[in-house]
Amino acid sequence: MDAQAEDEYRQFLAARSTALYRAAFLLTGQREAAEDLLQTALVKTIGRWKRLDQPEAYVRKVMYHHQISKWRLRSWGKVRSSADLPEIADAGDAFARADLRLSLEAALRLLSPGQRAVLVMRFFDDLPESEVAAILGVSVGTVRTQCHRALRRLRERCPELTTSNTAEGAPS
Amino acid sequence: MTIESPLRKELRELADVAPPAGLADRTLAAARHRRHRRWAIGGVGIAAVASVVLATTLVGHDEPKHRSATTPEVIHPAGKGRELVAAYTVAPSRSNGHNDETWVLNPGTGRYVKVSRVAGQRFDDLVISPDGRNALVEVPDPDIVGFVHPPQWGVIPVAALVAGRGDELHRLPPEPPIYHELGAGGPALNDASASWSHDGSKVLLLGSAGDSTYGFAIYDMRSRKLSQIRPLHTLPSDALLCWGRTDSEIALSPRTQSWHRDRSKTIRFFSAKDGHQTGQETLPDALDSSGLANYNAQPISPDGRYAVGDLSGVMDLASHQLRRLPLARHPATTARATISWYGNQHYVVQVNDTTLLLANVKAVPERSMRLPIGTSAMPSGLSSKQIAGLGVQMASVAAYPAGSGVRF
Repeated sequence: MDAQAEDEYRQFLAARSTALYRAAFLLTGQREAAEDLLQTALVKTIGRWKRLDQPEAYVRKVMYHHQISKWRLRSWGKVRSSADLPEIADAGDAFARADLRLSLEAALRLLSPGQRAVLVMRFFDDLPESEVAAILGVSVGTVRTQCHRALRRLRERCPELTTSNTAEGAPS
Repeated sequence: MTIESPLRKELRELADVAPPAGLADRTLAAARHRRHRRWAIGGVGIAAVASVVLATTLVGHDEPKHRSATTPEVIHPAGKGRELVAAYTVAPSRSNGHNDETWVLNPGTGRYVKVSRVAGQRFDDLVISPDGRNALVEVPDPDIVGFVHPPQWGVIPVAALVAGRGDELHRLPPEPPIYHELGAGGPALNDASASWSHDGSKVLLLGSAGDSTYGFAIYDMRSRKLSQIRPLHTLPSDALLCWGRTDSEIALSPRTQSWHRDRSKTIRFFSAKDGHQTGQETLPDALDSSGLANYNAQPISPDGRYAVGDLSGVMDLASHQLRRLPLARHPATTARATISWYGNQHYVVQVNDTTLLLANVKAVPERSMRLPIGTSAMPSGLSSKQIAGLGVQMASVAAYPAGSGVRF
């Protein structure tokens, strides 16, 4: 990478590393695993830097593929029994928010890598289904199915999400 | 109530984490390291090479002779060595690796041929078998559209590769999925993630059989079949997978990069047949975390007695005695890499620029050679000022005409 390209790369990271790292964190569930995942994607990106019109899209694509295609399941992907899930907090409990987050994290662990990736892209990156489908190389129907299953599982495992007063527009 | 809206908010709060510091520096360094790992590229001084080659007394040896560790001998590139440069790549100074030249020795004519495509496709990686007869090439799968795709490996006779006979390319089956370098956090194979056995009869590949089952697969050159994935349930997050003490054994060793956290010093051996563990060895502390982080070559000797580790030394696997290679005479560069084993008692190291060093298992350098890059013996389409680095792959001379190639 020549000096100009390196400068562009540094500027890109200064602007987008937070967003990319957060997506990686949601995909992996652990900071260290997220760091590894993002670094892996960035290293691959550097190799193609001059050929990329949209480097961020490429980084995300590599991250999603890399994550789905296997390897980092040790952190998120260990299937846990429902007994591991925290009990549902009482409404109004001072610790309800923290419990909700723990519950959500635990529920996310129960999702398949594909379901989790779809969820992150749809509800964190706010990507349309068609774009998610393009990134993952699957049909829009597959994205919908994955998303539907993921949400159904979250409703089952984390019902307080639907009753949480943290929802945007929810009555305070 | 719909779940989508609260889910959006919770995901944002859940992901309220700051990225690690120094990400740009680390990834740039890792990218450079990755490139070097593939081809052991270092700076090249063409003028110096030419002058040294011309001024050198021709000394050829069929067998390495013991010499002083402080006076490695320079030999003529067209010596009578048992190994030769089977392929080399030249990297231009301004490149991300896209404009590298790859030259492969033609076993029919004994001349190096520039090769950029196979079966009409550009290839990303090329690994010559130790016997010099076949080449592994990483080619994109033409049926997969998009710029992120699982790489596909193929095998082609070197003679067909240099002659442009792409119909002899045998693509390895796409299933089970075989993965390329898994990068920072995952296991990797030495060299370009596909590793030849010492006799060139098998290829070791890293793979996954499912969401959480990872291990290795072996491609047999004779039967042209790829095995099922042999799962390795104890696979650490940071490991190097390579051939073991025999061609029927796989070794799993720690791997190093500055930002890796796993620091296990145990090499585990597994049966290539069924993946069951067959033994383990603990690396001496002196080897630090480098383990068998050895970039271009099979780290373990053909007889299974020694392992080379990241150029810092060679270890006797039976006694665990570690000997370090004295490299003070050769200024350090980022290009150092073990290129190949040279029988059971010697190995070839690219120590800097274009210098190859032949060392024995006592970690004593016996001979050195300057590669004549840019001369008729080792041509390049780039001028000396355009060249930023050079990487080489060695193979046995048996498959090539007498006297051909740059021999060591």
